[in-house]
Amino acid sequence: MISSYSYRDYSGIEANLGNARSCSPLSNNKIGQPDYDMYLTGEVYMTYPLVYLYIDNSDKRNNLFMVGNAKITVPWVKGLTYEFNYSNTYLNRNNFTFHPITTPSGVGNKGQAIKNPSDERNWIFNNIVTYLRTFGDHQVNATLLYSRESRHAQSSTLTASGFDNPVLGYNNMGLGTLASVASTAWEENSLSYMARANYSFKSRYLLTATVRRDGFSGFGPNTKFATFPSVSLGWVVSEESFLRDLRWLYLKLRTSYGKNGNQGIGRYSSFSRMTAQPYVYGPATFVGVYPSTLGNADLAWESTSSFNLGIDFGFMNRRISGSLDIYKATTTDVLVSRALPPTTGYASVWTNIGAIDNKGVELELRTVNLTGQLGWSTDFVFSLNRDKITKLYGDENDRDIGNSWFVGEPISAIYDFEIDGGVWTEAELYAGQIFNNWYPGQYKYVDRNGDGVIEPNNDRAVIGYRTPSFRFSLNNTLTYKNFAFSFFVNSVQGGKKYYMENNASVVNVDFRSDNVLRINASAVRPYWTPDNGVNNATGVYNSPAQSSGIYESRSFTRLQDVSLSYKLGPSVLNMLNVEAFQVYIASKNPYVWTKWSGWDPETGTSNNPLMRNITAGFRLTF
Amino acid sequence: MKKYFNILRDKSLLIAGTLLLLFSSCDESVLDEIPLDFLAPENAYTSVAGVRQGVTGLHWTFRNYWFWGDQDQGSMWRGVGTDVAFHGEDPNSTRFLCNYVNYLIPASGYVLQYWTRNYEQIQRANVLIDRIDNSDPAMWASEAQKNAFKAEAMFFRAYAYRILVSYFGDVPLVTEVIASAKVDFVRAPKADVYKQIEDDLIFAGANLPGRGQEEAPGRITKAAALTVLSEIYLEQGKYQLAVDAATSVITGAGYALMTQRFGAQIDVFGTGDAYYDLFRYGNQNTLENTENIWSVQFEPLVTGGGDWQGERGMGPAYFRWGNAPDGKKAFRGELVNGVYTGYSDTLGRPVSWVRPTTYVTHEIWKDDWNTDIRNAKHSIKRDFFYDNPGSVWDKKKLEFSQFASFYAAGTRDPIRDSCQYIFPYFMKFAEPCNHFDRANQSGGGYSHKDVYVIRLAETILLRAEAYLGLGRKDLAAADINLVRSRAQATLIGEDDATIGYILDERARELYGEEWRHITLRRMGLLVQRVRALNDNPKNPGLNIQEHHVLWPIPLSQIDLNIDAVITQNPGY
Repeated sequence: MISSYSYRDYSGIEANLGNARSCSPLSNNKIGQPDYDMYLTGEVYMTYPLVYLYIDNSDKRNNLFMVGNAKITVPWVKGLTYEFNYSNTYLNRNNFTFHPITTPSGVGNKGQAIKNPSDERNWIFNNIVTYLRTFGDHQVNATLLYSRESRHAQSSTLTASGFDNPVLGYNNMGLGTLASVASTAWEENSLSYMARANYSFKSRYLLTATVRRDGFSGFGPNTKFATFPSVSLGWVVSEESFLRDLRWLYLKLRTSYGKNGNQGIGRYSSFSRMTAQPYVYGPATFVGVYPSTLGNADLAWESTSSFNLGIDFGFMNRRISGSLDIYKATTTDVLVSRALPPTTGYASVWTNIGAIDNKGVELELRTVNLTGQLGWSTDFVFSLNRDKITKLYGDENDRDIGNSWFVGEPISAIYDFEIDGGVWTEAELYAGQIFNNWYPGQYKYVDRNGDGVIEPNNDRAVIGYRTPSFRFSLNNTLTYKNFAFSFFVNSVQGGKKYYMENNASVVNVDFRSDNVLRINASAVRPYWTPDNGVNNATGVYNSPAQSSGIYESRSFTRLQDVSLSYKLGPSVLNMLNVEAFQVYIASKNPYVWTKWSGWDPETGTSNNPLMRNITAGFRLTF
Repeated sequence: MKKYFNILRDKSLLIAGTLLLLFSSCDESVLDEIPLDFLAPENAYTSVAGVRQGVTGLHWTFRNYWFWGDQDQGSMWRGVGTDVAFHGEDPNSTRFLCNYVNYLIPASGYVLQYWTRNYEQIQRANVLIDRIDNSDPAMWASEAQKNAFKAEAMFFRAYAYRILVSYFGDVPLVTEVIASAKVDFVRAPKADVYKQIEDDLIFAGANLPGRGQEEAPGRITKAAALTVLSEIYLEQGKYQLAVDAATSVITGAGYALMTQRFGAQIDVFGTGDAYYDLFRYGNQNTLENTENIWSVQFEPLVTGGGDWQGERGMGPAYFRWGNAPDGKKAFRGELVNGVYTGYSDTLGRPVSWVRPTTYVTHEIWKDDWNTDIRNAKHSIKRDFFYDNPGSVWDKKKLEFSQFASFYAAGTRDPIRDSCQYIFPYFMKFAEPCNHFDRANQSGGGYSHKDVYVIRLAETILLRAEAYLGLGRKDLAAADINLVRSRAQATLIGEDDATIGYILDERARELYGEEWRHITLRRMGLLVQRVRALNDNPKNPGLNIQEHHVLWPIPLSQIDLNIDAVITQNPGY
């Protein structure tokens, strides 16, 4: 039985990089001064980026964790054990905020206090029966599992505003004049049964067969359970007598075939939901409700059948080792949020559709390049995956343009107009080459059917994919005497068509023209003017007849970790009477190679890039 | 090998027993879901109180989609893009119908909202109607009670179709609850849509309560349904039916135009009249106000009270004027928390989304400039004054004509000066010196008075239009004169009663209240009037083309409707 308790303090609200980008550097911003302007130059589109630091926020989280474990070795059957474990997590969070009148959310009505206490309790128990025995060359390991998981949570939100006297903040919400309350509660449950048998002969031939049946409360009433069998085989070739003399060699072949499930949705997803909103008749509040979410009582498990071939290897006494896997998988009843025609009155519905094929390769390679005084080892990991929709809704529907799903294309396909390199020029206008209703300073799009008109029915196409083409990472460690140097490089690549994302808000002046007037709409690419004939950005007043995203590759190679350390040798340590002493300098994310124009290719269009830091320190162990 | 299996067999009974013990607790019903914090359509409407919440949900949707939410929606239906207004903040914007050609495209998010918001409301109404139809009869006090609730839901459904059929022409007709993914919508002929609207409104007109009988202020009454019905008849050329529907509101239903001062008389400018009182905070819901047929509800400092962006949308952004000619701030503003804000409590914080055309600010008033109370100084604020004791210009009037001599050449942009910063401000959208929050921005552009959706004056002008259709210019003139006599404007003779005159009278009486796009489309005059009267200085006539009368079907509707073809409107 183990229990632990943690108390964590997440208080405070961070400054906003998005605001920092849109604020004009020419405004008198009084950074860090108490008489700052909440909106720079009084412009509500330019919120003072540090204003959030003036919000009084207390976010304290208590976490109580307990795990109990009992194991019984059944006395009269050798190798048979019964294990029971139970864990219970209790999370409690008190998130209290006071927005003073000097902040955007408090200015409207003399300050606003919000108390949002919440708690969540999760428990899991597992019953495991294991039978593990070796009979000569035969080893049998059978497991039966019954597992149950449950999660319950609730939260309340208390809001008050109109504080004539704000000094007590959220601690006395009764001092506010306008109050409202809300609360939430939910529960979700899972059940699993599993039977697994491992059999190995001479540790050379390995067989694993598994059947599991999983149930999750979030699916429809008649589709909560699904059964997933799998089998895998292994053969340690290097244990065979004809190879056993080759001591420097390790070789294992693996293959598996099986089904597994993807829960993929949240609780209550099969239900139609009502939303409640308050209205007034005269001075009195009345609650209104309306259906806001379309349910789907048939919502069921997504399942993936996959076939995998793998090889584990080690050469030269494992100075070169690693594994190579290739797989092919078919996912059916794919769980998706399907966008619906607006005439349904709903934006989307959770549903199971069609099938997707995936195939890919994964390689891991570990090499010890140098041993001795100068040591050098390298870890390399590579993976590549290709997916393709093979079926959508049955019938002849092999294209769903609105959802960007097409049979034969990856599910991450981007369906849009394609920027045809460059913008229309004045010369083309005067030469009469420009399309009707198009103007200089607007993007040229590919006219797929060559009719001189850019329109959605014939000129959009799949122009790229959001998912990466391949990933790799490389870790090198060098040691020389007491010095150690390591660096870790991580890379995600898309080539020409993969790993694309719309980055229009960063690279181009804003399409919304009043934003141009009202915020510092800094664009990476200088905008087009007749005198500045750039060919990759539009003019400021760009209001094209048709427009598309401006897709950029998110491909990047990141130097993710670098560290250099020096540790004192044993003789000095003995002299100082300490166990270990190490000094180091390290950096996280010191450099990224990318053509992506936003903050960070990995976090895409978000305003929360990965931080870069450099640390230096020492470690002393007595 | 066999030996081992024997061992297993001997013990199998024991193993089975152990398993039984372990798994006896697995009751799979633990996975059954019971929602804890939300209602489902199946259990929400099983009582009268529940149905009332459903009706309130429709009211909320209507208010938040057309009177509150997005600036583009709120401002456009009040007239931007017609003969009465253009976007003043940035007349050359890519938004706000500044240019029909680049704004009205199938991929436009704004077009999509016009489509989606109506179909969302239709689905919400359909679910409620379906639940009422299938409700337990025992839950109702009477059949009349049940029908009144159903009628209110049908009214909102009809109102949504009224917008759709006018803007898009033939549209999918959805009257059944959609309970699963549906992707095979087809456009129904306009006639079928009108038939549905008529059926709904006839039922609503027969079963909704009369004036003063509604459960609570702001709820729908017979007169609201019959006014919309009259408009729908008019749109189809069914003039006698239109007259009859309007007459049943105008006569004998307890409604009358307000001719005397009433309610809270908040004379910020020192004078006032009945027309001015109609638009003051607190004066809409009272029984005393016999002109109100339906107003959406707002209330300050109450949960659900919301707020209305009338000031924000309809007034000039004077506070952005900058400096007086002597380089001192032109408007110092109110003193709040020890700081001069730059905003005036009289004017609020308008940002000129809707700038009235010269037609509305001047032409329509020419004949009765000094007598028509709707053009009184307290109803249309035309004069603005520098307001900063630190400047020698303090309290002096802003005169565009003097600019050339006082401001250095090139320091002012005449288009911004006259379209964004200063222009005639219709006080019916403002609530001067009566803001309840956002003191630092003099209310921030928001107010909390109730806002008319249907006012008797509109019903009367609809009937006048129907009489014109019947060739009864005398009766049309009499109806127009009903409205004009209250306004103390010169009465007209029957020869003056023309469609053009009705459009002028509607602009005088209902500017910013009526859904001008629908009015002009009904009369077949949208394109002609926009070209003739919309004097957006950056883009006179707004580049409107003949095909823009009907808006494009949103691209996402066409794209997502994969099992049937939704045809696009011509020209797009």
